[in-house]
Amino acid sequence: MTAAAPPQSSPSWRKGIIAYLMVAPPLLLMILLIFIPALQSTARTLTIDVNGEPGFSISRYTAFFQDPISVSNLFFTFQVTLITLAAIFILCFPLAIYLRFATGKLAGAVQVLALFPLFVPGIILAYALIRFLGTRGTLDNVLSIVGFTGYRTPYLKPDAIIFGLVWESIPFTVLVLTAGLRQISDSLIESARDVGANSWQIFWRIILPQIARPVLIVFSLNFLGIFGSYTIPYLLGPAAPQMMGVFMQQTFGQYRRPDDAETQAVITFIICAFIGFLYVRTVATQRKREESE
Amino acid sequence: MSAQQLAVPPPPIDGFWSGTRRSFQTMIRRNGFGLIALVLLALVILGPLYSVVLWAFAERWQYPSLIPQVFGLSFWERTFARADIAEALPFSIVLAATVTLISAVICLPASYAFARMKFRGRQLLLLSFLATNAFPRFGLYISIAVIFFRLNLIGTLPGVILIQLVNTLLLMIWIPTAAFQGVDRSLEEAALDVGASPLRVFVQITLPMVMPALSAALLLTFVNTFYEAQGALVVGLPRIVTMPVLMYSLINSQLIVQYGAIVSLVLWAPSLILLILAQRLLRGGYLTAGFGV
Amino acid sequence: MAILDLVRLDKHFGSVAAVSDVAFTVSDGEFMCILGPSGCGKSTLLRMIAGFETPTGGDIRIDGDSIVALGANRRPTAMVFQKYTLWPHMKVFDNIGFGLQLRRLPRAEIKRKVEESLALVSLSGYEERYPAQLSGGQQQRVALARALVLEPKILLLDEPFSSLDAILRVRLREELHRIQRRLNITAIFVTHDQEEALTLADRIAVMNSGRIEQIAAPADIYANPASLFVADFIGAMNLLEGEASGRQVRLGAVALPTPDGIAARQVTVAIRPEDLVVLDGPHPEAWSCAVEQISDLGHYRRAVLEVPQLPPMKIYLPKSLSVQERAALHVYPRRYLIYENGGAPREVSRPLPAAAAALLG
Repeated sequence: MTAAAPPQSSPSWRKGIIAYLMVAPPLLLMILLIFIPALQSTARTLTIDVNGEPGFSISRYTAFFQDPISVSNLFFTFQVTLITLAAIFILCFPLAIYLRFATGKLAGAVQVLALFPLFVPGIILAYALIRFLGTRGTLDNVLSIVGFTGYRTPYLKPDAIIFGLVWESIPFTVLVLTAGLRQISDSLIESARDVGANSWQIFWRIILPQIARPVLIVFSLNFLGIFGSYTIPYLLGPAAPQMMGVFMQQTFGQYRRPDDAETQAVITFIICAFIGFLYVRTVATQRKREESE
Repeated sequence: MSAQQLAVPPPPIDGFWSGTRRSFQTMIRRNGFGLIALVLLALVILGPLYSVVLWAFAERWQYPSLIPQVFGLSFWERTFARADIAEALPFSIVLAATVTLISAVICLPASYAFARMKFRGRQLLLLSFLATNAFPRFGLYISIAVIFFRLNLIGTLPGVILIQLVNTLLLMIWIPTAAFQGVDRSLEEAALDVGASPLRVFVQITLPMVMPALSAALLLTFVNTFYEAQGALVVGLPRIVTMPVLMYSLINSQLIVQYGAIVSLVLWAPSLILLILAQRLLRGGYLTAGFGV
Repeated sequence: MAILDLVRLDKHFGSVAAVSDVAFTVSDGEFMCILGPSGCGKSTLLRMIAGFETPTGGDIRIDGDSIVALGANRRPTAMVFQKYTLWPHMKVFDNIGFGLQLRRLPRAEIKRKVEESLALVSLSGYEERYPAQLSGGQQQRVALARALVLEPKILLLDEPFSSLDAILRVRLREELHRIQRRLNITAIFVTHDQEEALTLADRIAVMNSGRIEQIAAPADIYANPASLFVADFIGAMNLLEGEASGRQVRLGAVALPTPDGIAARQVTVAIRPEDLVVLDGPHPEAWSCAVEQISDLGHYRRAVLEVPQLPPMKIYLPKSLSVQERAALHVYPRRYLIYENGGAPREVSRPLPAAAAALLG
């Protein structure tokens, strides 16, 4: 990217100002709608009104962590996130390896199916899963026709949330992992073998370092996506415990307690801050590497 | 295999890895893995959609049966006779088009600057747009909503447009930036050389060459915005009701299953366009561009 | 009729001087090659003439009028670029016709001119193809046609054949030469390939570190390189450093005579391989040396000689001379140039020694 600019465009101050003017609108929008809300919410949740003067206080947070419902919702969100992530990796790693090495019509069909959820928006998915997984839904139907009558629906249980979130995450995860695996050429593995590396060393020294970035990107984006999800847990999950997204919307929209909703939001920010940082850093280094190539 | 490796007994893990590899290869060769993956994916991915499509054309579908007992279209008329649907559908289309247009107007000049101009902090500013992905999304919406609440933007059109714009930034900047960078400068110089003015060079040379990428960015932004439900839900209700937001209530509080199925099917049309163009979108890497990958 | 004048042209990028103090005139219909190693500023010089770079000093004049203030799109120059720079979304016809359409020529006229120029580059009938359907050589011909169709006063070529394979490069070079002669167009051709420059040019300007080292006809440059850089860069040359004293310079076992007026003690003697003659016996002004390596180049052979106390020397041997590797030879410099630091060379050319009448070279 930087190499593209030939030396003749010497950065004069006028050109610089025009460039800044051109990038300003989206940048301002992002600052106003992401950085300022996030920072302001953080600041507001840490202040309290003391005789008309703002003072520092963590009372909103102590209130959150003393409320058993809030704590159980947070714990539940963690649980769902981690189980969903594990399920995504267990399903998508073999799929990605298969798609990396396999060729032919069967592999093509598998790829089409694995990527299909990209083209199903979350709200339609939620409806479809209710019809599919719910009592007397399609799955129940099929099973009863086969003769299995003991179907217990996961609908309105945590399992349905996990099912829906995994469903949504498969295509992106498979795409990124497969692309990462394709970067490793067969000759790279063969030449490592040629200089005497055993399979374990090849895995650790050749394959893993090359796929580390895709794995990190998939992990962090899925983590953030699941932790900040709303539609699937709201429509498919139980009334209690709730995931944080549902909890926040209820606090804000139904109970009309924006201050408490804000505290809940900031708690999700703090928990996700490290993951978000990991995501940005991974993408940034990946881009830098691609540019230098 | 080197002699050294034959002489030294391999570590136990070596057997594991080469074993796994071999078993993967045999699986692939025998297509066992592919077949299992295909069947499972077909069941899990297509099953839910199967239910939706059949429900949309069902007059009566009683458990247990694999297909509806009576097919018919009478529910279609009733669905579109509903005032809320008849109002929300055109509104959603106009809203998505508006957001896409605004996004293009503010982002395209910025992406040109990022691609073609030199200024301090260019790389950092470009990467800063990753921040739109680095937050747990719903927490961020709540945080924005709290500010909008104080600014009286809740339930207003500008509020909804603003919150939906945030989601479009990364895609609308990164795809065009990469496209502008991909245009070889000497192609533009060659046009200048035969006497074209800089404006004409941009219109007749640069623009046609970045057009595929720009159309992809516009299309993806439109479709993503059209399906965006969560931001519109938090900020839009009660006065602004987009089609996806209406889906929440159709799913949650409607006894007639067909409404949800028919609306889902109709709502799916924009995704169908993406699906038709999927190969081209995938090849250009546009489908994952919204994640910064 | 087009004469190009470069007047004390300078181009600095920050503190780096890419082109400094370049001045020469290209006369009407002349084919001028700018030759130099990569990074010598030759492309920058060409891009200044085309209008893609603004000079930091000096002037560029075509037929006496300064064009520095004109943008690239208003200059009467046309350029053929190094890479294939056909617009991929336009057919060959539109690629060539684009400039004419901008000039609002009537359709029939455009059609006629495009056809003419395609015929000129032997690509008649390719109008409806897209660039991606053409080979590299064809693309470069279309690029040439695109430049020529505008009937520019000056044709600029920036290493146009460097991305083609060797055989194609030679063929296109000959074709370009033929077209340039036929149209009698003033052309400036930038290259780092001396063979290309020597075969094409009426005159060559050799550039190094942003400066012109020498401007002369190819034969002249070859025979009388004006500086050590040119001597080394153009053709094969044996460069021997030695100390001059009392009208002599000692090079290994041999003391060569020097002309009057050599003031410096440290000089460099440049001898073309073809100016080294093989004698049939020892001679005080001939080096006795051993053949280190012989390569057969078809109609002649090239040998590398191992000379005591001197770097290896190159020499051409006729096929008639049967010499094996490790054989002993006596070589005598018939003509050489003596370079003092920075100055113009002094030529020494002398007859063959009478004593060694039976020559083998």
